[in-house]
Amino acid sequence: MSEDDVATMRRLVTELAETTATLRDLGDRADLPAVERNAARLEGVIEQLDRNLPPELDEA
Amino acid sequence: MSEMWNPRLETLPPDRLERLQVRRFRELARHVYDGSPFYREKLDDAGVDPDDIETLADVRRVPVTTKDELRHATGREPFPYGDLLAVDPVEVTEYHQTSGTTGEPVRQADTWPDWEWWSDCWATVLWAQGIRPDDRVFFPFSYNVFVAFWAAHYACERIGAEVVPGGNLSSVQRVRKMVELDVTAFMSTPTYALRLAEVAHEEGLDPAGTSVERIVCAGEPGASVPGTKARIESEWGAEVFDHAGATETGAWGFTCRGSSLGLHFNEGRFLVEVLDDDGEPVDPGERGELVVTPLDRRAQPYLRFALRDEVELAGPEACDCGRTFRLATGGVLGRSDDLTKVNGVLLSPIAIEDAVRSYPDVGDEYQVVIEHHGSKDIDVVRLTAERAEGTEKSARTVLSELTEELKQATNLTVDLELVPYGTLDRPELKARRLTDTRDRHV
Repeated sequence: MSEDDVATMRRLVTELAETTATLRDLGDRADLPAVERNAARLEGVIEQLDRNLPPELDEA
Repeated sequence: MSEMWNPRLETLPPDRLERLQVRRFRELARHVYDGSPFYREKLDDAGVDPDDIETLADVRRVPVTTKDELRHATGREPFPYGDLLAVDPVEVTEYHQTSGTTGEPVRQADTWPDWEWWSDCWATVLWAQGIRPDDRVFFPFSYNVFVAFWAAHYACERIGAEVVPGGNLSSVQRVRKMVELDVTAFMSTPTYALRLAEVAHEEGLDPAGTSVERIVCAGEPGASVPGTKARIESEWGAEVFDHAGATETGAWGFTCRGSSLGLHFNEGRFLVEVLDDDGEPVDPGERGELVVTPLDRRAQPYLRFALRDEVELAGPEACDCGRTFRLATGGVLGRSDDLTKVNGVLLSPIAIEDAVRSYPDVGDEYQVVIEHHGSKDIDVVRLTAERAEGTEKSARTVLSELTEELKQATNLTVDLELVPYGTLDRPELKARRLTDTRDRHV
């Protein structure tokens, strides 16, 4: 696995987190619990993706 | 905050709802045709090309799937699900099986997306019944291969409620844990909700004085049986809701907080048909048998699964909650397999349950045995009930009054026996209270 791959994964996880936060906010504003609550659940999964890609993986 | 999990979907106009259901049915039919040898053969035999399904009339050209078919199909390869499986076995992440109420249990596979589907359907149910992120929900359930409470557990998590798993505890420990943690809701069979109230009393606690505000019932139709629902509500001082589902179909029905005593079909995720003896849809106000298709399941889905449950169809106007989903008036009225003729009279076990549970001077538990007396060539219905704890009525009065109540409810004279309170078994899961010993039905 190259450093570029790791960087790409980190960028995608960040995008997912931002997208999910937006989705959650929109679900809340539209009074759609099915969207807001499911997005909240997704945040838990995305956090695990983030924690599995810590900066310590980078070669010093 | 909305009273509906998905208010856009749950209030969709009927014509758009039908369009959605037919499209998803077509996609599901294509999926099982491609993935399951069982369904490929079934659809080929019926001359149905999945891609040609464009209307509900087209849907009805697909033969129903019966429980007997499942039992045969699961005996074939690949083990242990057989050729009903519509995905690569490596995609399966969840094993469950039916409770075996009507025979040998059927194995059920689900993928992870299926499991997400299960709990999202249950979230629709629980949100409609008032479960919210600030609830603390107790599950007094011995977690095992029976699926319903597992899926509800995960639905509570999906909602964001706090879940307290109460498996592997005695009934006394469960009641104490509920009191210790100030739980606001719990889920159980109606039978076990009554049993837990009984245990609370034995422990010197008043269940109506606990913090429990809502009880969601599954596994038996009792929460839609007025006498049983009233007993649970009275014992716990809580709102009582019903859910209807099956391992094969998922959570297809629910009572809401609207004014009706009916069970909404979860029509955003299921195609629910109520059919007459000729397989044609009944009109509102008529009774028929349920045929359910879970539209979004993938590993081992069923096209038009014949539940053998009887319901009376009502239009959406029967409830004032605002959903466009149709309802079954009074919930599931019984399994068509359980309706039996006694001396020429059709007997419904639910009619017996309502009569017994509506009569306050007997306990919650009872047993019914139907026998045939060969010498007289007649059937006899024997019912054993417990005297209620603390009743001041004489046994003679109770026998006389309850016999009359049962006669009104069933049009039959029931041979009634009263036993002391606490004599009969208290089941935790599905209760079987009727035994038919006849080898022929006259």
